[in-house]
Amino acid sequence: MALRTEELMLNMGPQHPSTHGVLRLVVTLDGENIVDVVPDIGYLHSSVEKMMEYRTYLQNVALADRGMDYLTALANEEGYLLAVERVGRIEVPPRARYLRTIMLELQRLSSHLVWLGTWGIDLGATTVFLYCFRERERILDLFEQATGGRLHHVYFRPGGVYEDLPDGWTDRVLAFCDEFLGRVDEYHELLTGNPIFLARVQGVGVLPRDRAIAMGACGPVARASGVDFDVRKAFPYEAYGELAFDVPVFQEGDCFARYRVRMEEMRQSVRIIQQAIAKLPDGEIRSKVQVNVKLPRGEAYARTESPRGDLGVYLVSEGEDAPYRVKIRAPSFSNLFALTEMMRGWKVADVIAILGSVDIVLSDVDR
Amino acid sequence: MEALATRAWEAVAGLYAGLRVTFRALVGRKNTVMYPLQKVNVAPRWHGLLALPVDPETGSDKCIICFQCERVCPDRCIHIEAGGKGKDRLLTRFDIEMDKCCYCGLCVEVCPTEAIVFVPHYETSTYNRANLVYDLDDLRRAAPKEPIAHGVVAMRGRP
Amino acid sequence: MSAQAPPPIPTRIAPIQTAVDILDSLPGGSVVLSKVEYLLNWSRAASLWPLTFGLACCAIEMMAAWAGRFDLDRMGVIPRATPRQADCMIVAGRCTIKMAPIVRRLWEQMPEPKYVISMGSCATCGGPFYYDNYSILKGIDQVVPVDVYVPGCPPRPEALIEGLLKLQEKIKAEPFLRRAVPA
Ligand code: SF4
Ligand code: SF4
Ligand code: SF4
Repeated sequence: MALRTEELMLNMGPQHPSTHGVLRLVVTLDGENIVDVVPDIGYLHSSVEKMMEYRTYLQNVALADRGMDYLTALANEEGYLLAVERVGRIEVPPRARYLRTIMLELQRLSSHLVWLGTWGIDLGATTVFLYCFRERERILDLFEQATGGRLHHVYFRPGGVYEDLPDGWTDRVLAFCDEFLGRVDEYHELLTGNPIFLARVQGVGVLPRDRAIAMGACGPVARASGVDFDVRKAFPYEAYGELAFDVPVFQEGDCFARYRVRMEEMRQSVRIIQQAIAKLPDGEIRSKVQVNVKLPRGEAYARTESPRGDLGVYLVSEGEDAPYRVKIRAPSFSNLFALTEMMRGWKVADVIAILGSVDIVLSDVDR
Repeated sequence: MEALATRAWEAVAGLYAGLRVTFRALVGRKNTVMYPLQKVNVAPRWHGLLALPVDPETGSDKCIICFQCERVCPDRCIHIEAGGKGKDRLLTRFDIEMDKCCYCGLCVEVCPTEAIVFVPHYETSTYNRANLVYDLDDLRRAAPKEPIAHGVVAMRGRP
Repeated sequence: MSAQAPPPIPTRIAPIQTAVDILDSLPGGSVVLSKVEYLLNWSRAASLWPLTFGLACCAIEMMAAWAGRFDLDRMGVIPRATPRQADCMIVAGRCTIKMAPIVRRLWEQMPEPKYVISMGSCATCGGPFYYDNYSILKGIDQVVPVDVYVPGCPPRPEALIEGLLKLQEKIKAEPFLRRAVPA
């Protein structure tokens, strides 16, 4: 008599220590091999798109911080405000553009540090978490001095930023940047040289280039699969067109490549910050826009490169002081659905490694 | 056999590199803030508790009852009522629901007289949610309504 | 859901209850009982193991509270990922209506005595998502009884620590052995 085998359905989450939020993965297993993965989302749906229709353009800045990707509050503000400024044809003064660039890159650093720390925990390297959060606290201190918030800043405004920098802030940032490059080396020492870490990530969860494009993967996930695309280079916004930086691209498409892309991005962010501070012009930080800004009729799509990828905001204005419709194209959402491609055929123990390497934030997926 | 030796050597080398970082952190500067004993000095711009501080010269707050903050608040958590006419206009109610507030600072930004400000308090936890509605007196006091945990106070009082 | 009603004491500890009643009726017994109770409460309060229910942004600040700078471990507060080993639950972040039954179920899986800390404006009452919203629960206390509310958006890690200290105080003041058994 032949032994009968059957597939096992395994529910991971929604409350699971390493699903990075409230995600439920329905994993179909054949023994230890993954046959299929279906993400069940919606556990953090906060209906921001609907709420934005009831709030004025200024109030929506506070909402964009929280409702979208919470690790990258300023990148959300940027995406949303870029759309607002395009519809309203609002000019942003050069100093404000540079300030925004500096803040966005600091935000990228802090977001990647959270990713590295939590991924380290998932892979059993708890110390990395402690080191990453040590540096992150320093970035948050810098944020706190400039914007007043640690996680949610509400710093960008239609047509500029809220306040100018406090005294000596740029020096503190530069000092931090110098130190931080050494810290990145330290992370490399901790992880890249560690054979246990390499065994868990090298060659695991491969996403080939054509599948990455077909699934709409974006950001570091796509760049790790050999897609040389960065919105900051392709469609420069704010001051990115005037600053020199490289876009790291790797061909392997495995977890290790995604890790290396982000590690390299951190170095590039430091480079951007240093240049932007050197070039920081004087002058106005905010163009004259009333608090209750009313935009003309029109619509615009703004693409930005948030730390997770290609963040798009489509905004329709009917001439009121609140948007008629806001549609958010969330980077995590498209990356999440490339997950199935990556996981098929791997062992159940790799689910965590692959999921962590994609770096999704559930409030970005569900909005 | 050779491959095994190489792998073993790699494992030892990787472990050693990691431990070196750990050792550097061990002898390096201490990072932990012993919270109840020490406090972090929050930045002057920190979005802490909201308050309507009393101006020592006039003995009252600076609010001119323009309702700007109430209108701009994205969470609609400020409630203002005023009575009287002209010069005798008086605040009869100024409530902020601190549990709904998202500490965004828009009310502070729009206030024309800087009547409403952030004060650097963050220890506002409470046993009862009703305590998080701050009325005019609480806001003028510019301090958390519920006393801070005894643990914090007792530890800080220690020499 | 009658979330605010005190949860019934499991029948398992009924013998303890009887022993406590007998001790209480003896002369001088209540003094001994008070001391025992104090000791028990002290040990319970000093090793509070929370179930980290990270839902949204506040979860990041909760993680930061366990990281090097604030190091919550030094207060005996060690994060647990399973409700069976937890004494209290930190609900950090906004809870959707889809998530609410799961919060409730995990709370029910925690052993008695159990406590809930609601961290952040969203968990406290819906916060920034209170109005014009169809998907967020207006406060976690609609599904589980909350002991300490920590407002803030997000609260600083220190604020969470202070909330935990408040919870410790509440635990220390509890008549742990002598609490009334619901009829
Ligand atoms: S800080 Fe923001 S949410 Fe809080 S009262 Fe002011 S405007 Fe409203
Ligand atoms: S904006 Fe300032 S002056 Fe106007 S009502 Fe509010 S607190 Fe008073
Ligand atoms: S209270 Fe603020 S920080 Fe916390 S979950 Fe809600 S929106 Fe996020």
